[in-house]
Amino acid sequence: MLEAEVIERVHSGRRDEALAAILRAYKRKVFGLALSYLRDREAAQDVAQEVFIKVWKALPRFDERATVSTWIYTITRNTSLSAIRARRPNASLSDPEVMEAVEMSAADSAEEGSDADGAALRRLVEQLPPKQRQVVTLFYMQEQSYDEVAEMLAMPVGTVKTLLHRARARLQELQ
Amino acid sequence: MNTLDDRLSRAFRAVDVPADFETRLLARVHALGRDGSQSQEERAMSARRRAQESYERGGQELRRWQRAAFRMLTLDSVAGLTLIIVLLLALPRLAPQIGILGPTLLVAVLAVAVALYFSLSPSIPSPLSRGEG
Repeated sequence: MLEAEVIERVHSGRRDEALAAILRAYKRKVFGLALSYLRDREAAQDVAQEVFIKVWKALPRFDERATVSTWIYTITRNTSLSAIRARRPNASLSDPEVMEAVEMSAADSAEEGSDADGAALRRLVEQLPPKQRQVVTLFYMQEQSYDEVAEMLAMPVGTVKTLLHRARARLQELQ
Repeated sequence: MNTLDDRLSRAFRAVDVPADFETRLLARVHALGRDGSQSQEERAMSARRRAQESYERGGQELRRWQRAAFRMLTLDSVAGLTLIIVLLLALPRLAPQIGILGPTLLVAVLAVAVALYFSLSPSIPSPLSRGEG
């Protein structure tokens, strides 16, 4: 159980080791979640770094009542939305257009180390509405787990399935 | 649909953090840790400084009270003390006449008390006058 491991290490003064354990489990997930919001690999890396710095700072206050995943995903979502807001200083977190701002951000540069078909597919995914794009990105990055994606995006599993179904249909049309 | 699933899986499988992500993060964390310990040290130094200042203030207060006590041992206070002793020694001999001289003696004692008060009062420090050296 990661929570018990984290708490034990923090209480014994080994905060760096606790962070290392969290990093092993969540590094890629946090990066993926940030990427699904920001659509920019560099910006997503920066956000992921910020998230883990925040986690490291807050580790002494972490207790058994919370789960590491919920905690980290909440920090990641908030940090990602703040990063989007920083791009648009007049936007508000409650502004429904915040997500639309993602559409206007820089093009995804996550094409390194992959084949042409993969790059072409990711470009198609970029054309999906934000929520569908997020779900597709996370679902296929996170080894196709509806529950995990639902937890990451703080939405019901049914919504994830619906969004994914629509996204697949849209991708079939776009091809 | 499975084909699309497979292709999407392949497309997103490669998306990952760069190899140096963890190294950079841990370097930042260590730097923050050092900063944190420095500020802890600063906090400890600040606490020590405050304790030292408090100790010095206490010492000054004590020395002020000592000086005030010594000021009370001036010629005035010695004279007042002598007068009290003389009165105490004379009282048994005057006792039989107190009945006759009662009011006069009372006035005399009050006069002596008032004189004593005014002779001692300038040297009695007031707890409110802390600013005085």
